[in-house]
Amino acid sequence: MGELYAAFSGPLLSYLTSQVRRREDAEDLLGEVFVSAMKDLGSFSGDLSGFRAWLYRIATNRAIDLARRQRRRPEEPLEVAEQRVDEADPEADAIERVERARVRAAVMQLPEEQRRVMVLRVVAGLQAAEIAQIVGKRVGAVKALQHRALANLTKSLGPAAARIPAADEDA
Amino acid sequence: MVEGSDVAASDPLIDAAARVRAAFVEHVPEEVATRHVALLASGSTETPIAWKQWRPRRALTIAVAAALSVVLLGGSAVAAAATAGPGDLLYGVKRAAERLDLSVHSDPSEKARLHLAFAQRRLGELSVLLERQRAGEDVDVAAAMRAYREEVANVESDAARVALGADFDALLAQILQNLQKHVDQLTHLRDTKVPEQAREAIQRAIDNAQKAEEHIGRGRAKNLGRPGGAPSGSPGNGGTAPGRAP
Repeated sequence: MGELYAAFSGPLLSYLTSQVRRREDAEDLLGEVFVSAMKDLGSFSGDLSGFRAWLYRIATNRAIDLARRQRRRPEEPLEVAEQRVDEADPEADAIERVERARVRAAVMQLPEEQRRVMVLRVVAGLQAAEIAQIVGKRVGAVKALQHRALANLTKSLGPAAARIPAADEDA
Repeated sequence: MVEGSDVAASDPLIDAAARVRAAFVEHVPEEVATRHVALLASGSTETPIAWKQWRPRRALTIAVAAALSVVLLGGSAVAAAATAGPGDLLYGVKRAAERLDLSVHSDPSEKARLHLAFAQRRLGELSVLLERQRAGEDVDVAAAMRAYREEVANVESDAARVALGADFDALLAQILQNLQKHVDQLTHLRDTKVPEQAREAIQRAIDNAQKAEEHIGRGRAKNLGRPGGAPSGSPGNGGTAPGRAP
């Protein structure tokens, strides 16, 4: 499980921070996902692709449960889960931080389904078929949601203040 | 990147996807990883599934994880964590994963072997840090040195808890062989890569590894009933021979 944690904790945390309002909640959910995966590993059957989708499905269900609980407690302030910029990227300059915060805020404004599908595709790098398994929709519906999410984001964000390299461009 | 079939080749959409990806890059902080490791470790004992039933599952998990890391992630996340050194973002995850691996082993010989492997990693990290120090970076070589010494001390203490038997002798032979390599590596580092101020610390690490060799060599000799050392030609033979010390 240690190797699983090393492999998936970062991408899963990226996904979870886009699904919940507070970073602390995302971190707590991350732990719950791995505990749940460890306990239920015996019940998993499927191929490697299915295994990754299974992990994200656990994460998705946990995030949905939390969102429901939070909706029942409306007094909790809504906020965008902040990135730990200083620790994650100490060299990021102010412009990049502003840009990231702006993008995250815009993503959090998207309708829940659009946000979930788009982040699973773009941030987690899952295929449309895998996402369809996770969210319980058809592949065509997943692609449509993703397209709408990106189109909405393009409208709300406008051009980037400063182009920041994507994660896979750093490597 | 967004699949062409998912999104018509539209630059603004692709650009938006790239911006989202960059905005949500997250690294798990060490304190969080440590907390989760503790959670997982405690879950493994409290779970209703018997521990004996868990062992094959854990083996399956590791096999699946290794395959997944290559097939699904291109090995990037694992490779990044595996090669992370002190001060790197993923170093906390790497150490936390090691602690988790230790926590699921109760057999002292398995723990000793793991610590031995981790000691080898610490040496590799030390070597990289020394290179960076030579290049003018401000790095914490002393901390890396301490981490290595801790691993060696753990090897020794776990080896001392192993019951006598065939595995005990094989374990000690493996440890002695590895510690000998460590001493050679440290000696090489001391003589080639280490700035003057760090040589003393390296020397302490060498002394440490040699002392561990001595203790373990004595234990092995006792086990074999041959006062004075292991059989001729064995990996541990002459582990503390005069002239090898730097």
